[in-house]
Amino acid sequence: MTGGTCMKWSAITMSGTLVQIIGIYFFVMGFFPVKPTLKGNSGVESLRFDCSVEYDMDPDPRSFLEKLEIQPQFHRIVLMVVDGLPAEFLIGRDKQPPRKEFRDAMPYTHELLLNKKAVGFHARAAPPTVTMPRLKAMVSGSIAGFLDVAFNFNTQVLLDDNLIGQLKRFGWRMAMYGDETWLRLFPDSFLRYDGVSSFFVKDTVEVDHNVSRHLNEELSRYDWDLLVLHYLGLDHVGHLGGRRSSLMVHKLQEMDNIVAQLHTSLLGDGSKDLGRETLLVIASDHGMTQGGNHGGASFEETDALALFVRKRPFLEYFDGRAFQVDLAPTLALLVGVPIPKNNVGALLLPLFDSLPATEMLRALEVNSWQILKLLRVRYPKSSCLKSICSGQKSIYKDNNEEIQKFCHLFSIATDAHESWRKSSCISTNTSCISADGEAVSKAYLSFLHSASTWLARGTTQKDSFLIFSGCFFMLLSMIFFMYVSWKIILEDYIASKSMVLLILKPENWITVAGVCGHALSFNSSSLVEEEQFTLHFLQVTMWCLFLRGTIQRLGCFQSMSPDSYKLLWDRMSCSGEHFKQKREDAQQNQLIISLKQAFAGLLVLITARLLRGWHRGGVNWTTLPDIAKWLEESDPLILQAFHTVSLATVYGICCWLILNHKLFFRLKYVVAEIFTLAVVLIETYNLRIHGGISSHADSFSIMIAQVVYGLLGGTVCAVLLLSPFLLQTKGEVVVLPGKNSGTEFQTCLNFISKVFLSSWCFLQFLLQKPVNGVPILLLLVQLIGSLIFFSLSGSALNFWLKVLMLYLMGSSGHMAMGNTNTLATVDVAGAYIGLNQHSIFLSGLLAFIITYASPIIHMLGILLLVSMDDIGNPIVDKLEGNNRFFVRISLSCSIPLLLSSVVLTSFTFVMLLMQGHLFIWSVFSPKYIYVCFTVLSTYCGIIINSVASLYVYAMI
Amino acid sequence: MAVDTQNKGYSRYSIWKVFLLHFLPPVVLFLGIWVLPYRQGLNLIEHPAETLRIAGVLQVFFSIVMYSFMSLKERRCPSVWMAIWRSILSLPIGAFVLIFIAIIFGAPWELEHRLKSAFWGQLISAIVVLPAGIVLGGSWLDWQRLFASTRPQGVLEYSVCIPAHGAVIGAWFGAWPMPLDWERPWQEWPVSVTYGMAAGYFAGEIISFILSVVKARNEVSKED
Repeated sequence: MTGGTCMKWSAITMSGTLVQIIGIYFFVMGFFPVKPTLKGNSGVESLRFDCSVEYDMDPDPRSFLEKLEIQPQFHRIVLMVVDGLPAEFLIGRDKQPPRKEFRDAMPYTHELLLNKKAVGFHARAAPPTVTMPRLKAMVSGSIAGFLDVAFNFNTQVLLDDNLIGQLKRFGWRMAMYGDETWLRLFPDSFLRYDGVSSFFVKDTVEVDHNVSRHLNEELSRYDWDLLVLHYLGLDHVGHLGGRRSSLMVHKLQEMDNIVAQLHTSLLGDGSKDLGRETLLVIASDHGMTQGGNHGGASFEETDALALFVRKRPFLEYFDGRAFQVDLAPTLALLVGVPIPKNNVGALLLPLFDSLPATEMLRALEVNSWQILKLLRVRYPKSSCLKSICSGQKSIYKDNNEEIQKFCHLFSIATDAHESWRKSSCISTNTSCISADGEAVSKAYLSFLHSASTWLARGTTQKDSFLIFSGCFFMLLSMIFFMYVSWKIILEDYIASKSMVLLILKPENWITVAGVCGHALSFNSSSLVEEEQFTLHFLQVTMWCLFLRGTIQRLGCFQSMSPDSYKLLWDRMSCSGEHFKQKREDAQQNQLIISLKQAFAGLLVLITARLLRGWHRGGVNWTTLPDIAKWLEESDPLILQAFHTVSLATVYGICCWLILNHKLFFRLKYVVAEIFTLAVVLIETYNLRIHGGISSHADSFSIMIAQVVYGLLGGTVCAVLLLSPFLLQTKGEVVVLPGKNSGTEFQTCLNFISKVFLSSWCFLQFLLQKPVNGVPILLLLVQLIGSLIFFSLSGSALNFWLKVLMLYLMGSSGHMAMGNTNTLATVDVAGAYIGLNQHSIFLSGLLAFIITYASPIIHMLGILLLVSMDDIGNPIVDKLEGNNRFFVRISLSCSIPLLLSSVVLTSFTFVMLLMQGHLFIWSVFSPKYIYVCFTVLSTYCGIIINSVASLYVYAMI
Repeated sequence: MAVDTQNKGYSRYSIWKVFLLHFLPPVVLFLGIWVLPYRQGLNLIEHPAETLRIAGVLQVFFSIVMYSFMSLKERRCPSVWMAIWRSILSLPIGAFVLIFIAIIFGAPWELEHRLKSAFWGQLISAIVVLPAGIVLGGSWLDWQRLFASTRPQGVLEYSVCIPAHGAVIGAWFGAWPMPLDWERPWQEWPVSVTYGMAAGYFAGEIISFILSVVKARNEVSKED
C-alpha cells in the first residue's frame, strides 16, 4: 500500500462524507419542512373575509366584540387540567360505559354527565404526548411541525398567538396553581400563582395538595376571570403503578371531590355569580398506556379528556370524538376573544347550543375563515384558494385533490350560509331558521373537520426535488464507502497473507446478510420500535458463529490425521508453512488459545444478555419488569451500592489496562493517579446528588463536575500530545524479545486508546443515570472480552469482520443503555450536569454524550483493536508492520462509515416509501433523527481515531 | 482413525431402511406436538408446557428405542445399558445447553417461564442432542466433527446431524416474528420457536434423506 493509494482512498472517503452530509441536509429540509406559521396575534381583521396576513397590533376589545356579533357566553373560566387522565375513565370507550371502579370513584362527575350538566369529549391529542407540547396545543390550537417538537423540547416562552395571551390583552385576570410548565410558557401572565414541579415523580400526594390548598381562598375571591388548576398527581400515580395502580381509585376520588367543590361553589344553586356566567373545563393533556407511560401515539396515550360543565343543562347527551386543538377556538369564541392565528381546531358545536342560530353560524363562519387563511399559508401555490380569496365564484381547479375538496366544501358552506341569511332576514320564523340553519352548520362543520384533520396531520408541501437529490447523494456516498471498503479489504487480505475468498467463510456472508437484513427490517414499524431485539439477535448470532469457529479449532491437533483437518487448520488459522514449522508448539498453544477464546466468547454472550435484560426498551413490552425498574423501585441504597461497585470495578479494569502497558513507565502512573482522583470526585458527586445529601445541584456539586470534566479532558489531550515524545526520549527497546509487540506506532496508539476508553467510561459514570452504572461496566467487560477474543483469533477472523462486529455491538449497547427509537427516552436531566447557566450548545453536547455513550465506547474499542497485536500473525519487519497498520486504520474508518451509511440510506428510502404511513411522524421520523445522530457519532469516533493515529504517525 | 474403523462395521442400508430412519422421527414429533395433545384437549398455544412435555417424553422414548437399536446394529455401542446411560447423560446436558443458548438469544429468564422453558429444552434436546448422544457417545472429536464442522459420514450420522441442524436453524428463524406487534398468541415464547424448530426438523429430515440416498450410501459402499 503506497502513499499515493492511501491519499486516493482518504480523498474518496472524505468526499463521500461530504456528499453524505449534503444529502442528509437536503433530505431533512425537503422532508421535514418547517411549517409556515402566522406571526402576530389575531384581532379584528380575523372578522373580515380576506386572506391577508396582516394583523392588528392592538385590537380594541370593544370594537372586536361589536364586529364579532356573538354574545360572549361566559365571563369566567376554571380550567382544571388533570395530567394524564384518559378520557376513557370518565366517558368510556367505543360507546361502552367506563369501568365500574372508575365510575364509582368519581360519582359527582358522573352525576353531572348523567344530568346533562356536563358534556365530555375524547379530545385526541397529537404525539408526542408529553405535557409541554400538549399544553401549547390546548391554548394555541396549533400542532407544531415535527422538527419544532424534536428540537424545542425545552423552549420556554410560548410566543405564538394563544388563548392566554389573547385573554390577557382583553383584560382578563388570571391565576394559576399547579404544574410550573404554565409559568414557563406564560411568564408574567398570572396574577397569583404557585407552581409545583413534576420532578419528584414518586410523590403523589403533596404535589396535588399544594394545588388544592389554594382553592378555598380563590373560590371566595372574585377578582379572577380565569383560574388554571393543573394536577400532576394522577400522572405520577400512572408512572408508579400504571392504570390499575391501587392508588388510582383514591386519586380519582380526590379529583372528584375537587370537581364537586368547584361545581357547588361556582355553579351550584347557592353560588353568587355576580352576573357572570362561569364555565368549568376539566381537561387532560394526554392519556396513559396500561403501564402508565405516555409519549407515543397509541389510543391509550392520545385519549385526552375535554369535559365542559355549565349551569344550563346541555340539550342532549353527547359523547363525541374531538381533537385537543378544538379546545382553543371553542373557548375563544365562548368568551369572545379572537381565535389564535395558527389554530387548526374546529368548534365544538354542542357548547354553542344555547346561542341563536345567527350567532352560532357566525361562530362557524369566523372559524372557517381563520382555517382558510391557514390553508392559504400552508399552500400558497393553490389556485383555487386564491380564487376564493379574491371572491370569485368560478369553478375552482387545483392540482391538489385535497385542497380542491376543501375549496369545494368551503364554497358550499358559504353559499348555503348566504342563502340562509337572505331567507331568514325576511321571515324570522324560528322553525324555518332551525331547519335550514342545521344544514348550513353541517356544511361548515364538514369543511372544518376535513381541513382541520388535514392541517393537524402536518401534511405540508414537500419539496420533492430536495428529497430526491438528498436520496441520490446518500446513495452516492454509500457507493463511495463501499468502493473504498472493498478495496481496503482486498488490501488487507494481501497484507495479512490470508488468501481465503470472502464468500467462503460462513461468518462473512452471514454477517453481510445480517447487516442487509437489519437494513430491510426498517420496513416494519414494529421492528423499528423494537430494534433492540433485531440488534441483539444479530449480535448473538454472530458471536455463536464465531464460537463455532473456535470449537472447530479446539483440540483438532489431538487427532493427528486426516487431511481434512490439516486443510481445515490451514484454511482457518494460519499459513501452511507456519503450520509445518511449529507444529509441536502450535498443538499445545492452539488448545489453550481456543479455550481462552471460548471463555472470552461466553463472557461476551452473557454480558450481552444481561445488557439486553437491563432495560426493556421498545414500545410493546416496556411495562414488563426489568432489572433497571427493579433497581429503581428498590431501596436507593441498593442502587447506590450497585453504582459504586460498578464504578470501582471499571476503575480497576481501566487501571489494569493502563498499568499493564509495557512502556510509558512514568506517564502511566501519573495517568492512573489522575484517574483515581477523578473517580473519587465522581463518587462524591454521586453521593451528593443521588445519595440524598443535596436534592438538587448546588454550586459545590457543579464545581466537582466541572473539575471532573477538566481532569478527564486534560488527561486525554495531554496523553495524546505527549506520548509520542515520551516514547522517543525514554529510548526503550520497542520490539520486546519473544513477543510480537509491533511497532512503536502501534504501542503508542495502544496506550492512547486505552486512556481514551477509560476517560470515556469515567465520564459516563458522572453523566448517566445511576441505574446505568452497571451497564457501563458490562459494556466495558463485553468490549474487552471481545477484544481478547479477536486478538486471540488472529487471522481466522478477517479484520473487517472484527471492526463490523464492534460497530454492531455499539449499536446494540446503545439500546441496552435504555435508549429507544422514540424521543422520549433522551436523558434531558443529565444534560445539565456541571453547567452554571443554561446553554443550549453545552446541554445538547452533554445529551449527545449521554445518548451515544455506547457507540463511541465501541469506536474507541476499534482504535484499541487496531493497535493490538495479533497472535499467530507475527510481523516480520517494520515496513510490513506499518503497512498492515495503515490498512487497519483505513478499515477502522471505512467500515463504520459504510455501516452507518447503509443504515442511513436504507432508512431514508423507508421514509420515502412510508410517507403515507400512519406512524410516519410517531415512529419513523423520530428514528430518522436517531439515525442522523448515529451518523454524527460515527463521524466523531472516526475523527478521534484518525486524528490520534495520524498525529502519532507524524510524530514518530 | 476411529471413524474409519467404525465405518467398516456399517451394514448396508436398503432404501427402505433409510426411508424409515428419516420418516419415523418426524411422524413421532408430529404426533407429540399436534395429535396426542389435541386428543387430550391441549394445544401448544394455550398449554405450551403440557404440550411440550407430552411431545418431549414421546420423543425421548422413541429416540432411545430407535437410535439404540440402530446403533447396536452398527456395533457402535457396547450394550443396551450403555445406550440408556448415554441418553440419561446427554438429555439433561443438551437441554441445559440449549436452554442457555435460547436465553442468550433473548428467551425470557423470568422464573414464571421456567416450566415452558424446561419442557421446550427437553423436546429440543430429544431431537437435537439425544440421537447424537446415543450414536456418538462421549467421543469429543465426533461431536466436534458433526456439530462444529458439519461433516457427517455415513447414513446414520447424516440422519443425526442434518435434522439437528435443521431444528436449530428452524428455531432460530422461528424467533423472528416474536417482536412484531401482531399480538397473536403464537408469538409468545416458546410457541413460534417450537413451530420453527419442527419445520426445520422436517426439512432437515428430507434433506438428510436425499443426501443419504444420493451420497452417504455410496460413501459407505466405496469404503467397503
